[in-house]
Amino acid sequence: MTEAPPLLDVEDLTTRFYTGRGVIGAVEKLTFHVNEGEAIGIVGESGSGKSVSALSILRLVPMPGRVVGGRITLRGIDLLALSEREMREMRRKHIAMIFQDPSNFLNPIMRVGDQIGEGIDRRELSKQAVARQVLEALQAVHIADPKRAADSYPLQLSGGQQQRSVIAAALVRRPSLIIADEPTTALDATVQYQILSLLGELQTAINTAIILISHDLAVIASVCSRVYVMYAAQLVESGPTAAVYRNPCHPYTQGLLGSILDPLERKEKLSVMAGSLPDLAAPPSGCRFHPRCPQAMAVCVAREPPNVQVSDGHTAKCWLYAARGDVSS
Amino acid sequence: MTEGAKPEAVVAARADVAAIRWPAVRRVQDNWRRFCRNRLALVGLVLLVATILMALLATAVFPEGPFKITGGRLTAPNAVHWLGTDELGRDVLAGVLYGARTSLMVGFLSVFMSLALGIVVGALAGYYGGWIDDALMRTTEIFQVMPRFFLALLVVAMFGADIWGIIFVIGILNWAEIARLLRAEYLTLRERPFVTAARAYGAPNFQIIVVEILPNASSPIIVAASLQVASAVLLEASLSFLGVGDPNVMSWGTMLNSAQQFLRLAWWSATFPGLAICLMTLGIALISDGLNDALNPRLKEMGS
Repeated sequence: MTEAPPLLDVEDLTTRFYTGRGVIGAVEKLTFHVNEGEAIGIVGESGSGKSVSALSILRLVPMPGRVVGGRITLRGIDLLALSEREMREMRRKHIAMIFQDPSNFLNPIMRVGDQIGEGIDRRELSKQAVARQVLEALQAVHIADPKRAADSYPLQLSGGQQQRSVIAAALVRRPSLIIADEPTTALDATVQYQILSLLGELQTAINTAIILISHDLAVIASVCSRVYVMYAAQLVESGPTAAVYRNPCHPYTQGLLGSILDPLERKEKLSVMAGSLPDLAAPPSGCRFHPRCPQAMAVCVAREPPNVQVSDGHTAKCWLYAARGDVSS
Repeated sequence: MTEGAKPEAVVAARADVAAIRWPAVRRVQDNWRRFCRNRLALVGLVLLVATILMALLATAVFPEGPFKITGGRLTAPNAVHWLGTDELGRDVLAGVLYGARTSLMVGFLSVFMSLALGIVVGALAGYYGGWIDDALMRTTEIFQVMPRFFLALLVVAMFGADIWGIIFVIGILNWAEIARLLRAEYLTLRERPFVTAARAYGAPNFQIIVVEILPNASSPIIVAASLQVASAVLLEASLSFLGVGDPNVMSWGTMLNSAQQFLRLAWWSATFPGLAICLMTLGIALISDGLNDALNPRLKEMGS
């Protein structure tokens, strides 16, 4: 464990949506941290609260939703206490976000170069200086013919080029934290790999911390040193990627790992997790995973499981380990 | 600022910067090329330019003005009076040339006014929503339900027929349409992911409204505005035709009004101003069509 204070510290983050159907808890008491220059991953099914967590950090949760509890501190600054103007400065200077579908997140009628330049604080820069930084950023993301890319409209670029441009727009400001929300989901497999290795490369090159959000554990494993697994708005397991990978403790994580295709291993039958995410407006009692859990016990229905430390830095929110690990909280 | 990129990349990038045609010049050239590809739009442009030339040439050709009696009453077109004369002996060509001035002025100034009002109101209402939207839209509706032509008549009758007054009235009558159109665009565009992306990099609201969203909403506005130019020209002509136009300014409507009684005796006194109205409004409509095609990036071809 590092001695230095973490770059981003999220504690008991709770975000709820106040809809006509009732209150939906999209994120419940999420706690995690990111150290300077570290890449962490958040995995979970669609609807498990990953993206809302990311938007909560940026304070951009869409309308009926609100961050109702917890603390988010970035380098000691409490983001939830900032004014809208101060928060804007934080976004501009420190946090960049990369979104899932680059074709939607680029303004269709602005040239790519102009859009990347938008993120640069141009108050004290000449046009040429901005243009140069844009080209450098495009070169850093290994886009073929950066000059042409800068001069193109988004629809003139391929999906991979678009996502590279979006990453260029993020890195041009040299943020201390990049949040990448499913950055490779919309791309095909070979491009996925390129984008992931690009993210890894940039992390070391400009020492940016990365939060990588994905539903794909394999994607996380290739970039991140630590991983957080979310299920139904809650954190169910967290720890160093290798430990979680080798020794998944929570039955949900086991299920997630079981459903990954391994080309080297011929499986008779791909294991599929039964059931689907519970209704977050009325989550199940006790452990939220118990209706789908193959190892559910009586206690799982009755009481919410504690966070159990199974090994160094590796915790699981599950009754299976409550007896043998040290129970925290 | 640039410590992270590889040195050779930096050098290459610097060399490229010089070659880049970065600013708006390139964009204007592109749009112009696409506009020219549309033959009808070019025809429209020729018609509009012809109208502008007529307006510019008016004082040079007829320094004494359009109201001067220069020949006999209702003379047919001849070598001296190319388009004939009207019932008072005024040259029809002079009237058409000076009328072009009035029409252009009324058309563009009133639309400029309705655009300015409509864009501000529509953008704020659509972007912010909530009570701002409610307040602005109720106001807009008040302006929309008023019967335009009669209101214009009423205002002109009450405050006198002054060309600036007419421009103002037409502007006031038209902005609501622009505002509603733009509000609808903003309502959908503000939910688009690229707006979230802009917020995520810390863009202030003003920048999002003006730089990110407005260009995306521009096509319907440009088309509506150019149609409004045509309708403003027609409205002014109609007011003048009914005899409530500015009597000190020659306009095509005024000419038609005085010509109607002599339609059978002197076809030229009504035909030429009428033709001028037709061609100018047609020209503007064709241009608006061409602009829509040229400015809509979804129709822009891939590559070059």
